Amino acid sequence: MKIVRPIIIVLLLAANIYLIGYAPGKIKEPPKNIEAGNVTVISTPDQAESMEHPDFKKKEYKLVLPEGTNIALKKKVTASSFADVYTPRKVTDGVALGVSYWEGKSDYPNYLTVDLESKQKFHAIRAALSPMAIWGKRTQTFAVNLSDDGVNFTPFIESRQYTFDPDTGNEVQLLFDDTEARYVQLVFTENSGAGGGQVAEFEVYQK
Amino acid sequence: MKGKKKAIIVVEWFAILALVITAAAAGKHLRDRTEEVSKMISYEGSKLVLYDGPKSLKDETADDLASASEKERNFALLHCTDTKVKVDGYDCYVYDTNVNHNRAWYPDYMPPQSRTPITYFDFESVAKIEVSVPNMDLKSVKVSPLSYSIKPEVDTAAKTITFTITKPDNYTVTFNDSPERALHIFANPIDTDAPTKSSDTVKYIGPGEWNIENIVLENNQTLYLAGGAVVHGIINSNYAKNIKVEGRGILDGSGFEGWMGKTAYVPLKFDDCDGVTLKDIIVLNPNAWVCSAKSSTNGVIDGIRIISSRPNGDGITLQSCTNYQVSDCFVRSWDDSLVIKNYEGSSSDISFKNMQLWTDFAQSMEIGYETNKGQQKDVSISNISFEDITVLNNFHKPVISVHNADDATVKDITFKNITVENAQMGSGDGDEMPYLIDLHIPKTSNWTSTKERGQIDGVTIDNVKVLSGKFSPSRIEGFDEAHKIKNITISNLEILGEKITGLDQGKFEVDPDTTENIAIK
Repeated sequence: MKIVRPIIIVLLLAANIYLIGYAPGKIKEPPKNIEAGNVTVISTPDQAESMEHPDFKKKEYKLVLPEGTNIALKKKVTASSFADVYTPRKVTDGVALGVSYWEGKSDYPNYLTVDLESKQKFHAIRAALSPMAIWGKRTQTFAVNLSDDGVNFTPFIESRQYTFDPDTGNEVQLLFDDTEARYVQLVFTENSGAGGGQVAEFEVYQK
Repeated sequence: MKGKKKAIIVVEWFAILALVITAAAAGKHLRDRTEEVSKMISYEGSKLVLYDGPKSLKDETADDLASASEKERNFALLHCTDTKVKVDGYDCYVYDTNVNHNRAWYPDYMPPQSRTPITYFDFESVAKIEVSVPNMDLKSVKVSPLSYSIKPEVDTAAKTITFTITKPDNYTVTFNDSPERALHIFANPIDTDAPTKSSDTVKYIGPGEWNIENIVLENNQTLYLAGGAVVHGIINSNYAKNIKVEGRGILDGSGFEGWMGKTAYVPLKFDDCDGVTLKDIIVLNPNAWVCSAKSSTNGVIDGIRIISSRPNGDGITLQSCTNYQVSDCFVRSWDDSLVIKNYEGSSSDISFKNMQLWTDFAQSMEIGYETNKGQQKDVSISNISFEDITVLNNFHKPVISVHNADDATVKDITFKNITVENAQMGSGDGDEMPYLIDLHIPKTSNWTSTKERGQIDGVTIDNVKVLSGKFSPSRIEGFDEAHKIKNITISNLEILGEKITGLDQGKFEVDPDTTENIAIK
């Protein structure tokens, strides 16, 4: 039994050496700072002022109106329907910007008819939307009918899909040989940008 | 010999005792130290991505900080100079954007406006944020959301505050209990899938300051706005399918004149679309409302950050939309923060989850007023939920509101787990509707389009807590006996620490003639 106490002493000594001399050194504090290699700084290019982005640059577009005078300006217009405040009279007010446009309800076909007040000769029709970039590109499908009495219309240009793109004036020009009528009617059956047909200016040109 | 043996035994026992005591003490010290180290914040494996701001942005001056209308001072997005931020010891670029502290409508659309700093970065694991405000006397500092229980170290002499975050989220530092110059910190997760250039389906906009007036996305296109990019312009689509806008960059509208009821340059506008995803980008200084969709379906809006300051600056407004999931966004707005309306057909199956709102003007979560502006037959607003919403500040009109000003049926609406950190309803001209909760069927000259009135049937309001501010009243009022508000359940409502179990106790103004089955528990 003489050996028991010395063995206990040795074991306790060993435990003390471990607990005081060795174990504390094994407890490592976590890193208190981020490793420099784990920090990324995204830099910006040298610019003195805000720039046009090269991938979104737009080609300069020069609008060329049809030859002659717009004889539809300020003339009376009717529509088969209109949405919200977008009444048909806005298409002959000479203003293509802002809320000055007609929009039909989604009850196709939408009819938009201008009364030239008397039988007139003309050679071009221009349907335009606001040229501002806020108007996204869209397609509209419409036909053109003509009438002398406002009741009996005859097909003039068959229904076709046209692209309206603010980068190119947001307009469609239909050019043809001189024709004659009092009423010019657009018949919309599709618009990829809204629920019904849309026109900011409806113009009829006479040489 | 016996005496010597005895002495040896005594010494041995003494040694054993001494060694046991020292071992126990060493063991305790070791355990305490292990615990102490385990609680230390570890930067092991932490990562940080910082984004320089465009070099062309001007430094803000004292003049820029004047409270003035957009006609009277520089309104541009600026580089902030009076608030500095370091993350893990590295400088983090701070922007200065416009905010609006007015609590009244300006018929001339020209309220004087103020500015506030914002910053953003990406991190993983842990980030130590040091904010320096050399021009400010620091009396108190609050870091929101308060649910994180962040207690910043404040050095009033050095005018710095320091705190650590471990979760990517949006944090707001409020100084001296004032909304003035509050710092918004958008701490993102690391974007591991960020593209670095354009491809057939991705339009990439890299760091820098860019003028792009209008970006129109077509079917199956993604627009990536990289961190460090500021785009002055708008993004939109009509009738498009499967489009995405994402990235860390800023979409800024400061170059557009206020809309003044005429031309609204809506930064994110997607009408008649199917499958639009908007993710993470920051939208500042819109000239009117901010993120809108009309008659669209299957949308995801996740993690976008919005600050609006000009009139009609509604945050996220979904009109006649179906199947939208909106989550993890930050919206600070000078008009309703989140809105559901009907402009054409019905709205249904829309959820807002885990959002942070700061509503400078109007309502935080609004259904209405227009519920049938398109005057269509049998329209409804149904299955709309707002869940896990923290309202940092609500200054003007109700936090929770269902306003049916047309003939639609509004049903199955849920508000759950709503925390209002600072309730200041009724400030300014909001005193006409100083409510916490407002359920109402009105006929108004402003918002009503239909002759007939509608119904509100089934609103669940559960676990709403107001932490500080005012004990505001609430209102439940239908139109008449045929157009009632019914089946309303309110539970676990707590206002300024008081559990509300009765309508009178909660200051509810209930019209008995136009309501039915209103329960509070």
